[in-house]
Amino acid sequence: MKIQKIFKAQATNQAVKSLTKEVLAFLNEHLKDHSLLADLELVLIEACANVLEHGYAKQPGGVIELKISYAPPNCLRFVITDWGKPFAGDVPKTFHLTPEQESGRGLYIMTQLMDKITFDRQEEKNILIMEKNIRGNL
Amino acid sequence: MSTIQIEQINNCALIHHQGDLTLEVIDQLKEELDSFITGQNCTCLIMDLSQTPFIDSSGIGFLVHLNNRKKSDNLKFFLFAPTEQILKTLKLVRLLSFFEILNDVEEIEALA
Repeated sequence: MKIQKIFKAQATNQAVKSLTKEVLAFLNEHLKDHSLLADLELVLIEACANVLEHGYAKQPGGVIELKISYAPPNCLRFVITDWGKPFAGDVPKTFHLTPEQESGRGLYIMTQLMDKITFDRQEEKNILIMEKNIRGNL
Repeated sequence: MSTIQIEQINNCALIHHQGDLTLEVIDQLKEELDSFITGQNCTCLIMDLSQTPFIDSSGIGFLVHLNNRKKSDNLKFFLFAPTEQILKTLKLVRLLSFFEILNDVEEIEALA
């Protein structure tokens, strides 16, 4: 069975928080593993926070779109689109984080919890694609 | 509206926070705590995470910020009774051994 759903929110802290809760409620209908759900919540929060901070530079008026799809055999895919500033660069292969650093862990967390992350820029859109194998959890 | 309550036990400040420690609350928390620390004769900060079900990288950054104040303000800083999810996330970002963690009220009393 293929599952697909699209969510949209204004690019504000509160709207993104609500979006994440809405997405989690949706996923909760299909996933049995609460630890996995918590991981996915964290990934979505980090991804959206990056859009707010870097894509829209904390300015109001932007939009975030999140598409969830479950593509057989076992891949859960999030596609997060924003219309903010172009993302410069690629996903780092290694991270050099010191314990004293007060920021910069969001992308690291995303890479640790998802199996594959790619960025793309199409026309005016930043597109973040994150995939995770969730065999046995749907 | 404040999301924290600060309980003063001698020179220790026990900071109670109820709810997620995530992006949308961090700026306010940082402002409140920085202001509190500056205005008090406080030598020890304890962040009570027993009622904090979830943390993101902003929340982690906030805890690191408080921990970093140990050096600049000569403060002791501890986490108190973090929930399983918090421990899991701290482990994920390899900070579990970076923080000093208290799990019993008796440990707090011994510090104060």
